[in-house]
Amino acid sequence: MAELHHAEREPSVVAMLAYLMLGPLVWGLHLLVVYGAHTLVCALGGAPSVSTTILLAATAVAFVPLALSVLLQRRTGRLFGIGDEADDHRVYDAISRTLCLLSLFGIAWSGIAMVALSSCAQGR
Amino acid sequence: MEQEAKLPNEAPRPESETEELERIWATPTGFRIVTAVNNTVVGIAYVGGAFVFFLAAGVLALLMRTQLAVPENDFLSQDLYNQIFTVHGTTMMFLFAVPAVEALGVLLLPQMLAARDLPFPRLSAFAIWAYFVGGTVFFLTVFFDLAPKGGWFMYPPLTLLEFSPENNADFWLLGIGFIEISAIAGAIEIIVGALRTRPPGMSLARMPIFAWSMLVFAGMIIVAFPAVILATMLLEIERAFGWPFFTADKGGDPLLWQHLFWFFGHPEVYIIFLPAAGLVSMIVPTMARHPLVGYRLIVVALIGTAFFSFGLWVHHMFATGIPSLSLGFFSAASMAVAIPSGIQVFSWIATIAAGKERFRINTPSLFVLGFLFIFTVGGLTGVMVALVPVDWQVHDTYFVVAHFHYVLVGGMVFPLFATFYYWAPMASSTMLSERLGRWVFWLMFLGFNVSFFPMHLTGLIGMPRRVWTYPDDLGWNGLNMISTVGAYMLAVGVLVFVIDLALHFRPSAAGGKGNPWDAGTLEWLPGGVYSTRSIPYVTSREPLWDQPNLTREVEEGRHFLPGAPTGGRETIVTSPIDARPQYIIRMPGPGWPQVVAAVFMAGFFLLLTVKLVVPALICGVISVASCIVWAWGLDHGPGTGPVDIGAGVKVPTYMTGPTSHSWWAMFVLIIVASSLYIAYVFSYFYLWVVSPDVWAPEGSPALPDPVLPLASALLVVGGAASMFAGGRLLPAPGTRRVLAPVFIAIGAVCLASAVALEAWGHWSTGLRPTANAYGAMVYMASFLNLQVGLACVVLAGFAIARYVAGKLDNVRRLSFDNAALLYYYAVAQILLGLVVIHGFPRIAY
Amino acid sequence: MRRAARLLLRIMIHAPVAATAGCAGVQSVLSPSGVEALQIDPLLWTATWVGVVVTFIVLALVAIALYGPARWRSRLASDWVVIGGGIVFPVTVLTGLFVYGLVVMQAGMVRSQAADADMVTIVGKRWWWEVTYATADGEEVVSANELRLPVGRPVRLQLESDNVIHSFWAPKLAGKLDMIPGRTNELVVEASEPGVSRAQCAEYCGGAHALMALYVVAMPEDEYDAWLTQEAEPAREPQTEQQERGRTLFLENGCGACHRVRGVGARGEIGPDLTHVGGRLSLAAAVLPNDREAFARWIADNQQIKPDNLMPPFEQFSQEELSALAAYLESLE
Repeated sequence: MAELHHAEREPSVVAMLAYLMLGPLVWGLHLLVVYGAHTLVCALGGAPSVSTTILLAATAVAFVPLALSVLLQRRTGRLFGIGDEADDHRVYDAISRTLCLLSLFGIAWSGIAMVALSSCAQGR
Repeated sequence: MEQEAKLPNEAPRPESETEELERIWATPTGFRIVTAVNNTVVGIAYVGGAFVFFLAAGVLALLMRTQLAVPENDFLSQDLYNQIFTVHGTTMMFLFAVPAVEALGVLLLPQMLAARDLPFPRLSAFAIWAYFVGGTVFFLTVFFDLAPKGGWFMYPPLTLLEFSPENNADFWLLGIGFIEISAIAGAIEIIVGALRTRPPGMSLARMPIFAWSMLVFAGMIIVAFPAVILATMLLEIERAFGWPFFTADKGGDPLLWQHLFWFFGHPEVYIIFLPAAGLVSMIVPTMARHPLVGYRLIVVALIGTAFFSFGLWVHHMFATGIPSLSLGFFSAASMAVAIPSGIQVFSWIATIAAGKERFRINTPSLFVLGFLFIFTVGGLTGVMVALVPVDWQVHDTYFVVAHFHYVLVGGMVFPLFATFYYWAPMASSTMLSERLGRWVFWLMFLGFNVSFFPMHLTGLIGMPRRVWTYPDDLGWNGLNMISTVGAYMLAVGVLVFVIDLALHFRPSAAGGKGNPWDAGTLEWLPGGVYSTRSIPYVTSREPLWDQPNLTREVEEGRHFLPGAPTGGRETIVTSPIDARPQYIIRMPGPGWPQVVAAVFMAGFFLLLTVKLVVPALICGVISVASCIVWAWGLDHGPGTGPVDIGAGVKVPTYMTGPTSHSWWAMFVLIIVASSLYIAYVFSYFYLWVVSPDVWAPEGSPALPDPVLPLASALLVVGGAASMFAGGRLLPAPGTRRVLAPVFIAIGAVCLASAVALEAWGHWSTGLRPTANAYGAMVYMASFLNLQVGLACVVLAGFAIARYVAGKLDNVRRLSFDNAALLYYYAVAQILLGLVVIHGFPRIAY
Repeated sequence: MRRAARLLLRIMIHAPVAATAGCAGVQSVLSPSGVEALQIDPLLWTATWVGVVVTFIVLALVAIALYGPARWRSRLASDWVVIGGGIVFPVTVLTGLFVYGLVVMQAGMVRSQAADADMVTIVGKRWWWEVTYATADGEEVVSANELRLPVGRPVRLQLESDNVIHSFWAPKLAGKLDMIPGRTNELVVEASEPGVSRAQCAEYCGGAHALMALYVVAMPEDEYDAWLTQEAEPAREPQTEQQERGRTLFLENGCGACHRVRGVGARGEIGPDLTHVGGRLSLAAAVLPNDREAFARWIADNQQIKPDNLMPPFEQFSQEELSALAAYLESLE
C-alpha cells in the first residue's frame, strides 16, 4: 500500500487521455481536413486534380506520426509523460498502439477512396 | 490482499460506526422519498421511469404493426400514424434508451467503484425529475393530437412554420430540450464519478469494463449532444422568430440540420450501445468464471468506436447528392467502426470458451447469447448500408428499419434485459424467476426475429419507411403480416417480464441478496444504504476473485473510511489514473431544492411552448431561485481539517483548484459549451459555402467599423484581468477586503457590455437577423455570447453575494473559482467569435 | 449459388401473396431493369453472402465455445483469436467490400458524365410529382405523376423541390436521390428493357407521404419519341357531348385556377398538369387507377382517398356532372 503515498509519480490525466486517444485524434483531424479541403476546393471551383493532390498529401502527413508511434511505442509513451516506472504502462502502451493501428486502417481506406474516385463529382 | 496486518484499519470497529452510517445515509420515507438523492434510490426510479417509457413506446409500435398488418388498412388515420411513428422513435431514443443507460450508470457505477454515492447526488436527482416531468408531458401529447409528426429526425423544411404551423413540432423540441439537459448533467456526473471516485488502488487499468464504457459514453455525450442542442436552438429560433437558417430562399440550407442532427444522431447509436456492451463485458466473465479475454482490446474497441462513430454522420446523407469522394470518406469511416465491434464479439466468444467449466446457461446469459446473434446480424447489415451504392437502394426502406432494430434492440434491449436479470439481486431482496425468465427470453428472441427479419426483404422488394399504408398488389402483404405476428409475440415476452417483476422484484435500499452469481466485481460486496461498510483497497480487476477475504474485511470495516469522520455524507476522491486517495468529498443529502428546480423548469418550458408567458416566467423565477438555494449550501468550507481514512493516510475534507471535483465538473461543462460553439462555427462556414452571395459585404450591409469589435475585445480582456485581480484579492478567512467583489463586479459589467456592443454594432449597420442566413448567423453568435455571458453574470453575482454573507475568502472560494473558470472560457469564445465574424468576410471578399 | 438463392427468395416472397401478386416486383430492388440498379445488384448480393457466411462463422464459434471439446475451447480462449477474428479478418474482408463499392461508384460516375442524355426535370410536390421533359429542340413539355423513358438511352433526371424534402426512388432503375429545396440533384437513369415499374417517395415528406408514387414506363426508343411528340401537343378536343359538358364544368368551376390544360385556357400551376391526364397509368400519384370512376371519386372524395392533399373536395357536383367531368378528363389522352 506504500504506493498510495507517492502521488507525485502520477502522469497528468490530460496527457494520459491524449496518449490513449492519439490514433483516433489524428484520424479525426485527417477526416476533418480531407472532407473540408475537398468540399472547399470544389466549392471554390478548383480543379479536381488540385483537390486530389491536397488530399493525398494530407493522408501521407497523417500516416507518418501514427506509423512512428506504433513502431516506437515506448518512446511515444515517454513523450506523453508516461514513464517506464508508471504503473500499468504496458496496458496503456498496448491500448494506444492498437488504436493507432485501427486509425491507420481508417486513414488508409480514405486514401483508397481518393485514388478510386474522382474529386468534385456527384456522379450519379 | 497479502497479510491481515497490512489492512488499512484495525478491527474490531466500534458498533456506533455502522449506526452512524445508517443514520447519515438513511433514505427519507413516505412522500419525502421524492427528496431522496441516494444513487440506489434515484437509480432504481430512473431505470423504472425509462422502462415505463419503453413499454409506452412499445404499445405505439404495436399500434403501428396492427395498422400495417394488412394493406390499405384504416385502423389508424394518416395523421395519427404520423404522430405515432414520430413519438415512438423519439421516445425510444430520447426517453428510453439514453436515460436507461444513464440510469444504469447512476445505479451501478458507484456500486462497482464501491463509492458511497456519485459526486453530485442532487444533480442526478435534478436530471431525473426534469426527465420525468418533461418526458411525461411530451408523451401525453400523443393523446391530444398535439404530438409532433415530423419524424424523430425532424427534418426542416417540413418542420418549419410554413409546413408545420401548429405547436406539435415545438413539443418535440421541448421534449428533446429536457433530455439534453438531463443527459449532460448525467454525463458530468459520470465522468467525474468514474475518474475521481474509484476505490484506492483501482487504477485506470483495473477499472471494470462497464466503468470504461460509461466514461466513453459520457465523453461522447459531451461532444455529440451540443450539436443537437445547437440544431434544436436554430430550429426553434427559426420557427419562433423567422431567422432563416434552413430556408433555401434566404441563403439557409435544409441540409445544415441534417449535418448537425446526424453529427449527434450517429454517435447516439453508439452512445446507447457502448454501455450495453459494457454490461455484457461484465456478465460474460461471471458466467464463464474467467476474467475477460482481451481486456485491453475491449478498451481499444470502446475508445475506437467512440471516435469512429463521429466520422460517419454523412452515412445518413448518402442520398442527398453530396460529391462521391466525400461519401467515400464517410464510407471508409463506416467500415472502420465495424472493427471495434468485431473485437468485442470475438473477445466475448473467447471468454465464453475460456472458463474451465462450461459457460453457465441461465436467463442473463441467454439474453447475452441472443444479443450476440442479433447484434452480429445487425452489424453485418450495417456493413451493407455502409457501401454507398447499396445504401442508395436500401436507405429509408424497411431494410434499414430491420437493420437498426437489429442493432438497437439486439445491441441495447437484450443486454438491458440481461442486466435486469443479472443485477436484480443487487437491488432487490429476491431474485427474478429463472423459469419465467426463460419464457421471457424465448418469446422476445423469437418474436423479435419473426418480426424484424422479414423486414429486410420487405425493404428490398420496395417498401419505404414511414408509410402509414401500402397498396395490396406490390407483394408486401405476407411479410408485413408475419412482422405483425412477431411484434405481438415480442410484446407477450415483455408482458411476462412485467409479471415477473411484479411477482419477484422487491427493491431494497439496504442492498440485495449477496453475490448469487459468484461475480468478481465490487458491486457484489455486502452493504447497506451507505453502500459498503468500508471502501476496499483494490489490487486487481476482479477483486472478489483475487482477494478472497475481501468481503469479510470490508464488512468488518477494516478497509478505508469505515466511519463518517466529518459526520455527514462523504466518499473518497482518488487521483484519476492511479487512484491514490486525495481528499474526502462531502456531499449533500436529501432535499427539496433540486426537485423544485426541476419541476418548475419543466413548467417554464412547457408553459412557454403553449405560449402562456406570464405563468412560464413565474415558474422560471422559482426554478432559478431553487437553484440558488441549492447552490448556497454546497460550499461548506474546510470544516474540521484533514481526517485519517486508514493506513495512515490523512486527507483533507475540502478541496479547491484543479484537483477539486467542482473544478472538474466546470471543466466538463466548458467542453460542452465549446463543442456547442464549434458546431456553431461549422454552421457559419457551412452556410457560407452554400450561399456566399448573401454574405457581407456582397448580399448584406458591410461590417461595422473595426473599432467596435476591437473595443469588445478590449472589454472582455480587461474584464478577464479584473476577474483575475478579484481572485488574487480575496481576503483571508475572517477578514474583509472590499476590492475583491468590486473587481468581480467590474468583470461582469465588462462582459455584458462587450456582448451588447457587438450586437449593437451589427444592428447599426442595418443588418437584421431575419433578412438572410448571414444575418441570422451573425446574431446567433451574439445569442450564444448572451447565453454564456448571462451564466457568468449570475455566477459572479452569486460569488459577490457569498462575499457579502461572509462565505467567500481565499480558502473557501469554490463559488469564485467556478465563476472565474467559466468567465475565462466566455472570453475565449467571444474572441473567437469576433475573429470569425469580423475577420472572415474581410479576408474572403 | 446466386441463382438458387434468388429462386429461394422469390418463393419466400411470393408464396404468401401468390393469390394477389398481380404487380409484385414492380418496385423491387431484386429485379433490376436499369443500368445503375443492375450495377448495384451484384454488390448487394456479394455483401449479403459475406454477411451470411460471417454470421454462420460466428454462430459456429459460439457453439464451440459453449459446447466444444475442452481442447478446442482452450484454443479459442486467447488474445490472438480476438486479434485474428476481430481485427485481421474484418480488415481483410471489409477492404475487399469497400473497394468493390468504390469501383461501382466510380463506374456510375464515368457512365453519368459520359452520357449525352435527354433531360427530364422532376419536381417533388406535396404529394405528387411534376415531370417536365426537354425536347431536342429546347421545348419544355410539362406533365405529372408518370415518367416515360426510352429503353437503352440515358436520361438525365434533374431532381428538385420547392417545398419540403422528397426523395426519388425507382428501385428497378437506380438508387434513390433526394429532392431538396434550393438544390438540383442529377441522376442519370437508363432503362435496360421495356416495361412498367413503380417509383415512390422515399423521404418522409409529411401528411400523405405514403401516397406519393409514380409509374415509370420504359418504351422502345421510337415509341418514346412518338409519345413525346404527342405529349407536346395541346389537349384533345372533346369528342362527345358529355365530354363537351365536362370541359365547360371544368372551366366554370375554377379547376383551371390550379390545373393547366394546354389549349383550353386553363393555366393553373398549383396542381398537376392535366393536358394528357387520360393517357397516364394512374391518378393522384399512383393512388388510383386511371378510369372514369376514379376521376369522379377523386373530385368529390379526394380528402378520404389521400388525406391532407392540397386539393379541396368538390362536393357540389351532382352525379351527372361528376360523370361528365370524369368523361372529359379521361378523354385527355
